[in-house]
Amino acid sequence: MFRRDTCAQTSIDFLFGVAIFALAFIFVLIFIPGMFSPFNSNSDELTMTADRLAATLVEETLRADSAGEKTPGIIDIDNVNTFKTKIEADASGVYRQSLGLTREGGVYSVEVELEIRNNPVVPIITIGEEKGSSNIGQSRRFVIVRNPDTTIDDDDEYPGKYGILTVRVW
Amino acid sequence: MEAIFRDDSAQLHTIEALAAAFIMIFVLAIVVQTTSLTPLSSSFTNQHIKLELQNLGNDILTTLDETPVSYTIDAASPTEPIPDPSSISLLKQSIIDWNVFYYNDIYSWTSTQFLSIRNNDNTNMNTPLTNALKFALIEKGIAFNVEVAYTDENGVARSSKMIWNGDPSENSVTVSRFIVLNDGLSEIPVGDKFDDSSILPDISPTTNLHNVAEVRLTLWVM
Repeated sequence: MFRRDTCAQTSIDFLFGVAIFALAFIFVLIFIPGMFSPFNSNSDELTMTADRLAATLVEETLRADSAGEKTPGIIDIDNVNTFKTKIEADASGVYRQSLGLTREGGVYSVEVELEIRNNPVVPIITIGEEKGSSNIGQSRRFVIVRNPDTTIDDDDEYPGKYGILTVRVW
Repeated sequence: MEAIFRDDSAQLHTIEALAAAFIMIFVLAIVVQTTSLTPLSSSFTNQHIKLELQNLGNDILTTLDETPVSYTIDAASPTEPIPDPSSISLLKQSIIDWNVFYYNDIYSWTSTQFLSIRNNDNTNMNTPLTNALKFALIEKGIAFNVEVAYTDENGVARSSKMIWNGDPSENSVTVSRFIVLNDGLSEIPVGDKFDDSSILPDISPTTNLHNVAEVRLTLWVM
C-alpha cells in the first residue's frame, strides 16, 4: 500500500518561497543607495556659491560710484561692460578665482544675465563649460541700473532703470 | 481508546502568534506614518526659496530708499548725474503719493493694473514702488502684499494695507524698512486733512516730524 505522503509538493513551495525572498532582497539592495543620493548631491554648495557671487557682483564689482558714495544695489552699465570683457577673456580661470569661484580641480562655470525693465535685449555673459546634465545653482537680485541717458523718458525712473541680475553657477 | 491529553502548548502557540502579529502591525503603522527628512523634503527646499525672496524684498526696499528722486547734471560729465542730497528717496515718494494723492486706499492687482478695492473709479496707482514691484515680482510669479505700520496720536501702533492680494501662503517672507515723514511742501503738506487723518496722522504737531512709517513687504511664491 502506498503510504499517504503529506509532504508532497514541498519543492514547489520551496521554489516560490525562495523566489519571493530573492526578489525582496534584491529590491532592498537597489533601493537603499537611491535613498542616500540627495545627500550626495552638490546642489547646496552650488546654491551658496551662486548667492555669494551675486552678492559680490551687486555690492562690489558692478557697483556705481557716484561722487565717492557707496551705493550697493545700484549698478553702472559701464561696470557691467568691463566685467563682461574681463570674464569673457578668462578661459584660464584666474579672474574667476579672484571672485571666489574656486573649487576642487578648477573653477566654476558662470553665466550672468541682466534683464532691464522695458528693454527687450537681455545681455548674457557666459564663460566655462557647456551646460550639461549636472546641477546648476541660481541666484537672483534686484538692482537699479544707472542710466547714462540724460534725456528724461516719461516711463523712466530717471536716472535709473529697474533690473534683475541672474547669476548661474555650475 | 486514546486518552485525551491536556496539552497547553497549543494555547501558547496561539498567544505567541497573536503577539507576533501585533508587533508586526504596530511597526508597520509607525513606519508608514513617520516622514523622513531628506534634502528633498519640503522644509529643505523651501529654505532657499525663502532666502531668495528675502534677498529680493530687501533689495527692492533698499535700492528704492537709496535712490533720490532728483538729480543734477553737471555739463562737464553728463553721464554721471549727481544726486541732490536734500531730495527724498523713491520709496518715500511712493508713500507720500499714496497718502496725498491716492487717499490711503487699498489696492489690488487685477492682472493689468492696481485697482482700488473700495472704489472702482479710483485711478490706477502708479508710483516708483508699484513700478518696481510690477517688474520684479509680478512678472516672475511672486505674489506680495504691502502694508504701512505707524503710530497714531495716542501712541497706539496701527497698520494699514496699501496693496493687498489676499492672505499669504505658509511660506511667506516679510521685509520692512522705516521711513521718516516730515511736515513740509516736499513731503506731507501741512493741513487738517493730513494732520488729523486716521492713517498716518501728525504725531508731533509742534515739530517738523509728521510720522514714522514702517513699510512692510510680504512676499510668497504662488
